[in-house]
Amino acid sequence: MQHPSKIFFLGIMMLLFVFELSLSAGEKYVTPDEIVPILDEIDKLNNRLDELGQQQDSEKLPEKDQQSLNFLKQDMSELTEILERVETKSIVDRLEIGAEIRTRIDWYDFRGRDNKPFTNDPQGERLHERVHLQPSNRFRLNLRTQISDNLKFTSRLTMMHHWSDDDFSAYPDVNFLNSTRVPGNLNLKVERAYVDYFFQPHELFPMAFTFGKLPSTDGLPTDLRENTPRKSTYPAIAYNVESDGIAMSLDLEPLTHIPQTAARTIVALRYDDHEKYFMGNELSDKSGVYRVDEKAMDPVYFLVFQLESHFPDFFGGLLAMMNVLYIPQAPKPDFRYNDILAPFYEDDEKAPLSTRGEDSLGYLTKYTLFIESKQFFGFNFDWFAGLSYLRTHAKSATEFILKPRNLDTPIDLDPLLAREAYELLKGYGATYEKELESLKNAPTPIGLLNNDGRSSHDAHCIHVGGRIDVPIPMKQPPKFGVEYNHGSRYWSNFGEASEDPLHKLTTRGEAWDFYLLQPVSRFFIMRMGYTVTLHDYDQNLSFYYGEPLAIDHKITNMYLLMDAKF
Amino acid sequence: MKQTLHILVFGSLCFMLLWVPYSMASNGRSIYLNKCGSCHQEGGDVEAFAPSKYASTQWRRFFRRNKHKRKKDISELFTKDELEQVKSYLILHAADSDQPEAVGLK
Repeated sequence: MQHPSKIFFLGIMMLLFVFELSLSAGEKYVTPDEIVPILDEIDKLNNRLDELGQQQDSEKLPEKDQQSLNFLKQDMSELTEILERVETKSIVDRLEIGAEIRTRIDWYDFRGRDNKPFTNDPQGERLHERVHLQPSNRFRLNLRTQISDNLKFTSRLTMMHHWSDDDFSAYPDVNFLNSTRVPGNLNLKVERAYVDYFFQPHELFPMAFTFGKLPSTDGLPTDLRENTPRKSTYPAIAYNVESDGIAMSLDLEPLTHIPQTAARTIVALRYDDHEKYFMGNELSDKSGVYRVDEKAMDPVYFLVFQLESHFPDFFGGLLAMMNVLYIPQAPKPDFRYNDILAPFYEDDEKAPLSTRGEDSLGYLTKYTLFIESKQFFGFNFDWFAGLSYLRTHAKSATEFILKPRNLDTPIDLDPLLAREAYELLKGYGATYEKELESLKNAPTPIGLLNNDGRSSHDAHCIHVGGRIDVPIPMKQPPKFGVEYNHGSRYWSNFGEASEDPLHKLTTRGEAWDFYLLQPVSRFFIMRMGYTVTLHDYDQNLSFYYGEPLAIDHKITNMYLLMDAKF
Repeated sequence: MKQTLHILVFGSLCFMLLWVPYSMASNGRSIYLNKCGSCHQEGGDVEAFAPSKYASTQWRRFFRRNKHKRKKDISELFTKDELEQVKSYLILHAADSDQPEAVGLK
């Protein structure tokens, strides 16, 4: 419960901030600069014609000249009207609309063995599964407007689905990170919708305040693979997921005289809305946004700071970024949507199954350095390199427990881990043995990249690659690119919204990516590619949940895609 | 398999390195910066301009009708090939082209 004085104080602070924004903004509405001078010229010509008309009254002109003058006046009048219409249209039509259509066909190949649940032990035969020809469509509607010279709106609406499929994307624990970026249903979803407000409290400190659903997907170097300009605030290796939040950017160019130098801070947040039902499972008996659902996931805060700069004359021209991502509290998971785990979340003190643990699993910090160079030393060669280091600080773990005292025939023992119950209680009575045996597959404790709630870890990832124009004498030659990344055991990318369906940067192991893209025209590109990911460790229960388990999976993806943008 | 993959990657890298010298960048941007920029300067007599000044069709019309000639004849300053490269660069970055996006990016 927030104290009213805190809310009042926060309100005053917000008002002062807005007051500062309005003082330093110096807003000027966008006017059609190209049209105004032409209209001025036409005014001058009209004045000149009026003068000629007056001369015509005083000095009688020959009939032929008089007729020419009248025609000229009519023409000028029409021209003025047309230009005024253009001017009006350019003032009123602020919204620029763009669209993108992508058709993609994928082939997948999987080789590996499944593990016994929540263990490092493989079970069963080594599997080889193939998915042939999986076609999907993606449609994006891009809306953009320069509302005034210091207020800019940008948005992107996306629909992505497998051909003639209308499914809900079923990855609920992470879908807040990528719901518009994985194949789902036919709905058009909002991938980004944000406003930039540019203001200048001091001439040396131009700033921008941004709010809404932010451009945090398509992280660099996706621009190389997609053949687009920069489309994200961050490098993909640092943070490549959807985020709602607010941001403040400080343009450091006037201070440092280094072009495109800026400091950017973002506060993004995932707020669990205590949904009562999800996919048929009752998640809570509370309804109403004003009610507290004790078992719901706490908000996840993502605090991101980035310093970036462009060095056009250094080592062939570089864009360099230093990024720090901080998750101050990693909330415990909420797996009530999972049929197997749902019984552990029953809101009944007398139920035998339950969860136990603190609200926060710990905190996490990630540091990233990233550089990208386009047209390196004037050659048609682009390259990038990224290095990221991550450190977790463990605090707790969510335990899935059995309370022996709550069994139908109570056993006087303290709560114990459900997965260990069979071994510990099998001597206490045959009645429960079958039920207890099924609990052997219950999860281990789920901590922040651990299964004990105590172990802190560090991890790293490198991501390097390049792209070159294939030297064929064509107006638009094909481009060939290679990317490689390696993530260590505890690597956590926050890259579930990446453009590639394997989310290769999340790999705890190695990944190679080869692609060939062929611009057909300015609006139409074709790309074919081959991605192979070699997984040494799995993602356990996804996101930052749980200890990564040893696996030996190899997944390949071959694809052909066609992109039209207009 | 891993060895094959490494050979493939090594081969790709060799291919890229070998062909770099033969694949000079289309230098529309540098011609635009150096030649156009020698007159079109911020605060200079001739107004500076960005490719986003016009949409792609407007740039095409500008070159087709040789509109620059009305202000100044630049046929002596640019070769035909250079003009073509500048035109391609301006069209590629025209007002209706794909624009970069990031928070606080103007």
